[in-house]
Amino acid sequence: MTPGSPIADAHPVHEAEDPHLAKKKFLHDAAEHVRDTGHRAFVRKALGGYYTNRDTQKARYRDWEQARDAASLAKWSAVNRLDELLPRFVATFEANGGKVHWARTAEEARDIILGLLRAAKAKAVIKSKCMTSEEIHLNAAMEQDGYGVVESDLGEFIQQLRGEPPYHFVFPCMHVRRDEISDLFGKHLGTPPTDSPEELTMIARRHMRRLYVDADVGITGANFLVAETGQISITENEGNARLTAALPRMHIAISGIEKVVANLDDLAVLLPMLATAGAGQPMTCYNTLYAGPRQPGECDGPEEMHLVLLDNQRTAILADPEQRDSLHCIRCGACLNVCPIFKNVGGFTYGTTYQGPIGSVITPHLRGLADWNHLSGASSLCGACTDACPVRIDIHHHLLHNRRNAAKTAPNRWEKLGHRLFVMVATRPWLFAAGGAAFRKTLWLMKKLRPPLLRDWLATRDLPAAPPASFRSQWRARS
Amino acid sequence: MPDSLSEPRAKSRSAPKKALLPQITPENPPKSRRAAPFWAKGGFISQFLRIPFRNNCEMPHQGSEATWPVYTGRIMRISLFIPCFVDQMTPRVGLAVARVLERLGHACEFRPAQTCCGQPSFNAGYWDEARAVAIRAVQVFRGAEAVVGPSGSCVAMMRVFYPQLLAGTPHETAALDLAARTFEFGEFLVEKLGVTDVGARFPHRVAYHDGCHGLRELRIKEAPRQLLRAVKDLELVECDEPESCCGFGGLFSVKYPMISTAMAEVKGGSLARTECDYIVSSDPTCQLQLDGWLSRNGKQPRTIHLAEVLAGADA
Repeated sequence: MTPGSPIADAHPVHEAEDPHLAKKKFLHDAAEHVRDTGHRAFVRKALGGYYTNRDTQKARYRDWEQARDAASLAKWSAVNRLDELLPRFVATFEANGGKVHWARTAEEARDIILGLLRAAKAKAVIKSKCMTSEEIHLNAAMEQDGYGVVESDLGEFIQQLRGEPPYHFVFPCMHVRRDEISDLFGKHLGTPPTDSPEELTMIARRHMRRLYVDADVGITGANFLVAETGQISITENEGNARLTAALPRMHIAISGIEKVVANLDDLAVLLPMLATAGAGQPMTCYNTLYAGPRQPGECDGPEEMHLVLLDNQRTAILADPEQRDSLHCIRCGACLNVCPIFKNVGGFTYGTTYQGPIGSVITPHLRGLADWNHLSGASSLCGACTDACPVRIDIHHHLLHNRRNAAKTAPNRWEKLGHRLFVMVATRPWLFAAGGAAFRKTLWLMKKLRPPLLRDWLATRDLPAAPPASFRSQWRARS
Repeated sequence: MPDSLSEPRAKSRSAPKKALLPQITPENPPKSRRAAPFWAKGGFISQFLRIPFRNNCEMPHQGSEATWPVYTGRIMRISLFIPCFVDQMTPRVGLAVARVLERLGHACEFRPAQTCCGQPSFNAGYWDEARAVAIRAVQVFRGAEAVVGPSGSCVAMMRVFYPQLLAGTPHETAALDLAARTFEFGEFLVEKLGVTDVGARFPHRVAYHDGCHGLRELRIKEAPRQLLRAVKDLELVECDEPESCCGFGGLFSVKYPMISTAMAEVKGGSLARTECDYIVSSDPTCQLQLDGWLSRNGKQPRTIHLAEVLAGADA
């Protein structure tokens, strides 16, 4: 909302300035957030309705597990045939009159979009929800170049007014209370306070309608790219993406290269899965396929349609056969909704575009393992994410793989020493028994001395007293 | 009740008092272990002596069928897999497992060459280190008819992660073989022995806590509940977060203590709200986390291992 604000100010609190400080910031924010029990309870409550709706909708599938197999297969076959499907998609899309731009990095993508805005002599830009644009920090770049950008998705609009990135990549403002939204609208739009969700939605809607008409360019994301027909599938609940794509004279869609699927049959599997897993809906309210700009004889639609296909390290994930399936992700957010880490530390603590388990898997690939491995470490490996994933990404095992890769490439000297010692003990039963006995006999003393790791445990939890004899000695005694 | 279990069992090695299974006949008694020589009876000094003399690792190979049919009445020689934490901190759980299995007429052995499954290093990403421990464990349990452990997490390590960890090494086949013969305690009783009622009595209201590795790596959900429902005078209740993680996660609990504690707060709080007397679990490390949090926060219920509940016979 504030044109001209520099990039650095766009995400004032939630992005670590120095990526090397990402871990420090994570630990700090997590500790801070965990103390805010009210907020944690609010987020849990906000997700409560999701669980019941999701389970109701899942029960409507004849076989949810088989549907997961089918969805996973659809994405698997697409991700493993990108070399074939992407050119086919581009050919059909361009035959329909669209224009495809390839961007290898976030910077290239920003330059392409800014170039398009300049060429179109655009003044006002309207956007619908698009995580890929968050990934490349597009809003900040556009505002720096003097374009007025407005988010048309209600959640994103609220986050834009608050000057925050999305809290959750599907429910961007799930952490904001209704009265806070009312105050926010009062402050920025001058509307009277209200407690009714309908009224709040209407305020945003009235504010937005004018902007759609005034905007020169509409920017959207893409949920799927259908290679067979050259269509872009966009899924939404508010109808804002339709207006964003159709009313301005230019439509720019941004998409990662992994969003391509082979044909409409695959799309038919994935769309309901996306809605059910992501939001507990049978289908999302508006599912639109965009196949190019206004054709001769048509009365509406944009004059120009562009698609920016972004790599931004996705090919690096593709090159890793072990974690290639993390490209299956359809960004439904199901893994966040069930993740105990996400529910307790909140979305901002991650400091990433993609929060939650899937974010912890892919961020090290997108932004460097050395600086982002702590996200993979911050998991009890409970596997709730993997169970929730509609496309069967092996999320929690990938966290293990990330940990392994980090320990291989940049091991922590002390940690490595510790594990070496552990192996020394664990491969010698006599040393294990002796060490165990020493540990048991001195546990009372250690509880008083509080050495580093034990201190962290004892700060919030008790430790039982050690038994006098180990199992092995008791077993020996009984035989 | 748990305290009485930690006492060493009487030395009498006769057949169980109550013949629970008709298959145990005088001609076919449960195989008892060879009596240990006098020098191997006390103190850990005997560890030095025991290992070379009693070669516990070289049992004759029993075959490597991938799955068993449900218990057919054959008496099994079950090798106890006692995780390092149980060995040192909760030996009563290990003894309870042996007591239940022996009451069902099977013979238990403990191979003292076993130490730890290597999960701490594995989860921290130090796979080369974990591999050394895993190879050792695979060798220790070579030839065991069945390996039964009272921890879903450690069994998951053996069954799910050893084959991955040792893939491409000369030990891969042995790891797969071990994986097919390793069972979590509750799962072993229900799925492999086909037993749900072990003749236990436990007159308390209990809630069952699913350990995540047992639940999602081994897919154990119903087996422990079936066992608990068959326990006399036991009332089983469910908490409102049945599939939530307690937040232990091994080193995670001390590397990210604030998140770990927050998770314990959610799960422990949910379990405490059921107003149960005991929280039954199949994972001693989940018990450590939950007990630690519950006792620090003055909440009532305490945890107890499934094996301890089942070992509490109807006297």
